[in-house]
Amino acid sequence: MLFNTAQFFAFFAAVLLLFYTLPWFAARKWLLLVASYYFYASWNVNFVPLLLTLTLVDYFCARWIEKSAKPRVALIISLSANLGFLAFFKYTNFLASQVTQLTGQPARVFDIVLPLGISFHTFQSISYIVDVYRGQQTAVRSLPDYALFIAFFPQLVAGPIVRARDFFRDLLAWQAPSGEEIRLGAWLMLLGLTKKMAFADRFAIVADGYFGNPVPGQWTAITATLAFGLQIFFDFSGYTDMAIGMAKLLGFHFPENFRRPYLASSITDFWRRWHISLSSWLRDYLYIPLGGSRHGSWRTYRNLLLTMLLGGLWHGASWNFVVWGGYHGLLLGVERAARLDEPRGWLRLPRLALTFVLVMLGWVFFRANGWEASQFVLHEIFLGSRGAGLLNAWQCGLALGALLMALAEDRWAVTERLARGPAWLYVPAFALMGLVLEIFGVFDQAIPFVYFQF
Amino acid sequence: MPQTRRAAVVTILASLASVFLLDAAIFRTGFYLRWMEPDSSTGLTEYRYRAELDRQKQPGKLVLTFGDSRFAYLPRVANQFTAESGFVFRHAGTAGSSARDWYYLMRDLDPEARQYQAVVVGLDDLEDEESLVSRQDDPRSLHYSIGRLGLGDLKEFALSHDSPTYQWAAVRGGILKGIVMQEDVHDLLLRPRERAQSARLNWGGWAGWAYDYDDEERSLAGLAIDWKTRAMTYPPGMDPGYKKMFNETLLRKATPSTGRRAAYQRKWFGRMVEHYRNSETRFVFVRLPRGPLSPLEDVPLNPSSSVRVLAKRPRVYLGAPLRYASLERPEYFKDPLHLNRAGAHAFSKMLVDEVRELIGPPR
Repeated sequence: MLFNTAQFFAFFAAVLLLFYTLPWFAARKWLLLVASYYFYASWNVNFVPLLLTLTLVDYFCARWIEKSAKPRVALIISLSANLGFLAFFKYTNFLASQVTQLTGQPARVFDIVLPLGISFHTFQSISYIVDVYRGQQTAVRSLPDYALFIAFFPQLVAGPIVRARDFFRDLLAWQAPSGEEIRLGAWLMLLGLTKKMAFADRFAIVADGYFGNPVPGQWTAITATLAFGLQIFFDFSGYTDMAIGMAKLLGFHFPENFRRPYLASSITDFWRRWHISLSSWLRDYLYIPLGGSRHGSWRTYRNLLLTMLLGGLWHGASWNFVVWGGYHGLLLGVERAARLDEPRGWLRLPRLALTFVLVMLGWVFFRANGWEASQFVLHEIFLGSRGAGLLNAWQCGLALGALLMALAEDRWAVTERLARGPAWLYVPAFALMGLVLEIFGVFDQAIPFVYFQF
Repeated sequence: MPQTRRAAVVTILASLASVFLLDAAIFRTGFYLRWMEPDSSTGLTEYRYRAELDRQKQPGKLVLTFGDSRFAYLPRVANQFTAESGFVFRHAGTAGSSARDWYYLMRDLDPEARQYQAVVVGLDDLEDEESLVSRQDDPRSLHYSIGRLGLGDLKEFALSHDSPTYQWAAVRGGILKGIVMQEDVHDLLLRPRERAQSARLNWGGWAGWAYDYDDEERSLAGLAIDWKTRAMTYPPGMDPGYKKMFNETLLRKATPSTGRRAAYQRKWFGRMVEHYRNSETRFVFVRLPRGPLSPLEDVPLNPSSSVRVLAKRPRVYLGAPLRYASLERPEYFKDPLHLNRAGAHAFSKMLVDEVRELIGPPR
């Protein structure tokens, strides 16, 4: 049940209607839990026991940590369960293929289907259990409440990775959304759907066509890489907008996950704007525990690199993701060593352009099918013959329109203003956005969200 | 500006309605039609619609015809015999269209069922032989009909598709027509200047050009089949890909009937005939020339086929199945399915004669 299908909208409308029809909040929580499990089971019912098992393990481990004099055992059990399942489902065949390459002996390949959203709910569980261990979060008493924290359908599949304190603040002191929040929620749902169907999917057609079978040509490789860079941004931020919008309509507040990342003036700035819930998770539960920047320069660079390498590997079991993470880790290290000041005014432009180009180059590793394909695409970008561009005029227009919208959002916080502004402004803006979706949306192909595979 | 929840919900409902209203303002009012490319499925239907409405303003005993690309008669040639027949022939069919699309176009062209002396439908088969593609789930149908579909048609139109995917596409496109016209809008955005120029030219001249169109001269002279060995002799110089296509088309065995085509035709021809139930307009089904070579055996006669059953109703006529067998010669065809210029001219004259014989003089 993809977010961009009629089936999902019917499901969400039914949930919303029932949610506000039920008179008791306890019943509403149960409704959300049942709906979330139904949503999860609609993908693959066989993985419901896995989700339940992890939920039970983490729930009881957290209680154990809080009561026990030796909480470390419970922490290790919980982390082992979470990381063990993640490693088994995500990395078994990758490890087997590496063993085969190293030893020359064929290793057994397992027919493993990746459970939906496992990377996201595992990280969410880990953050909870570590916070309880650190004493920064009390263990949740109610099992259904905890189960809802893990399975809540707007963020189950691809985040944002919500911290327990934020979720339970909303759940335990739930308040009906205000008028502004309702308007903002509806707007974000439409905006997210438009980003996904009218922008991401249009660019996906170009990028998939090229990266499925890269062909020679400099301009071809550049435009295909640009198309993927736009696809992945619109795809993931579109999903996140929808998730945040849905949550708002249900009275929950998810953290911001994207803040116009392609307007970043450095790679450091980029990671403050891109997949914010993941980068802050990596900072809090990996970079800082590794020592962060507290033990001298070389340890700091090592920690940065390790964090980004593991962050890359989190995205998928492939050396390409590791290289992508390492590439960003190196760039972060270089920026740290250079101690660049934040540029102001027009001086930002060249830095902004350089960051954009560096990020786009990184996407080649992320998207290409394997190391050789990455090398080929990069070779074409730098040394290829001219070739033909893959983006036509109106696709360039879409990209330009998106840039203008991002600049407007950056300067005037258009979304917030619309939500709070008068109806005579909100209604036509909504209609125009709907028209963009209608005219440019890809309706005949259900192109899955990129981050669903992680 | 603080908002109450109720006001917010009302604003969102108004916003959803505004999406529909904006779409309606652009695609339901005729505004966009001025910019539409007549070479597209929707554009062609809409240009025909407009041309026929214009023609209704002029005098003449009109006969309206519907069919797909195989109904290759030329109204201009047929109307050379108006003095003898008394009828003015007009064609509203388009290549690739079928009964469902014709129904909606016909209904809008003649809402009061009194504009035409007769409606003539040309068919490749009178026995409900299955076609190679599903008529019910033909995705082109939405594009042919979208300009004519009102909100009241949505349920029937959508449910006339078998597959839920096409049903949903029909509902979605029927509510927000821009979704169906996407490709045309993209093309307009890609080359606005050429499209504006094309629109100016077509708006004034399309109807005349379409009416004056003449078919290609090339023929299949030299084509022959030995039906015993099923060996085909091709016209000289034919490339292998084309030969394969000829084999697949001309040596194709009849597709066993599953009742799907019968059901489709019963429904949509039934709706067309029903539209004229209380009017003076006659309804005629004619069978088109089958191909450049008459098959050895015709499809077995089906006495309860959809059109034969409909032809039992008052003012509904059925042409003779082999009326145009004399045109089934390679000299009259340009490819395995379509008549060439000579064929189209001969067929046009014969069609006028047959219609006149079946329905008599104009009233």
